[in-house]
Amino acid sequence: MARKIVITSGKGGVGKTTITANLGIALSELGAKVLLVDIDFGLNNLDVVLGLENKVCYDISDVLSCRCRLKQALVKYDEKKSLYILPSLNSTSMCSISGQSIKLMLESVDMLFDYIILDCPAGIDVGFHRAVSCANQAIVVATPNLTSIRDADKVVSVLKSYRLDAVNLVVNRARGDLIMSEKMLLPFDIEDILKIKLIGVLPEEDVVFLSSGYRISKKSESFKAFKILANNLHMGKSKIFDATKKYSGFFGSIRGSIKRRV
Amino acid sequence: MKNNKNEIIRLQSIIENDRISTSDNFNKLLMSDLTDLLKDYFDFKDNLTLNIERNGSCFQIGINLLVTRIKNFINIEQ
Repeated sequence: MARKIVITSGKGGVGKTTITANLGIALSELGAKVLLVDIDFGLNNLDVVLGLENKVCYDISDVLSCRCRLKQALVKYDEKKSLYILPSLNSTSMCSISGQSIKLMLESVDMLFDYIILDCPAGIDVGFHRAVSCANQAIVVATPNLTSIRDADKVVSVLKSYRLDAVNLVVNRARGDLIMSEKMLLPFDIEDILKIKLIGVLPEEDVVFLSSGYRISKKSESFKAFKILANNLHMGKSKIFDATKKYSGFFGSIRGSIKRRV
Repeated sequence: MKNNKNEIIRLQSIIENDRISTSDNFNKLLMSDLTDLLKDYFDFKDNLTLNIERNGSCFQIGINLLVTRIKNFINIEQ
């Protein structure tokens, strides 16, 4: 039976879709069978982030309207990997779709995948509840700033009513240079405030911002961070990426001061 | 200058204020449910009052009600 994990945040623009896509890739590279489901109706971008927008024939609304079977709507990411996506619809015309109907739909492929990762829309309204009702675990994404953490706290309190198996935290856009100079909150401070377990830290890197539709370079810090996050989820490890590592020591401090001036 | 300690204090204050805030609907529904429940055990004329106060990281809920009679169980209406 698949682990159904919803990626949520409350605040928009913190990196949910990017994390959904890259986490899916990292998990599939560990040998897991992964299905990414875009539950963001109207503002969907999962297909674009993965560079699959031209391969989408059917979307989730076609499946729920019985215009096609679920397996016909799935788009395979890469011939070598076991990663698929179920795209969302481009319009908000079917916003009356309930979470229960999506949950029932996913049950038909539950045994085919190890992970079903749900990309949740921003906010805590109908779209959020639609996505969370399909999941049995949640990853709350927060960036190290007040507004994101405040919204994440509200999401955590709403998630408690769903009694999920696990609610974990991923801190995105961590700037090691700012953390070293104490101008940015430590991911562990955010963990203490939100009172949920930190399972991943992802650094802020231009390569992620510029990678829409392309693979992140294997030499990048972000690739390593996603790999660590995937290992934590898949193998139950507890390693956390250290965003400050390349800014520590003599040369690290020089690198950090140059970055802050740029 | 912005630093971590000030940010953490500011954030904790914002979050605690968010956690304690209740909407009018929340208060109205809670008062109504509590009144219905307490009617089974007590006779009272005035409305109950509800106090929610912060106590460190937790909240203390206080209910005040002037009761005229404690009902005998056999008198409780079904």
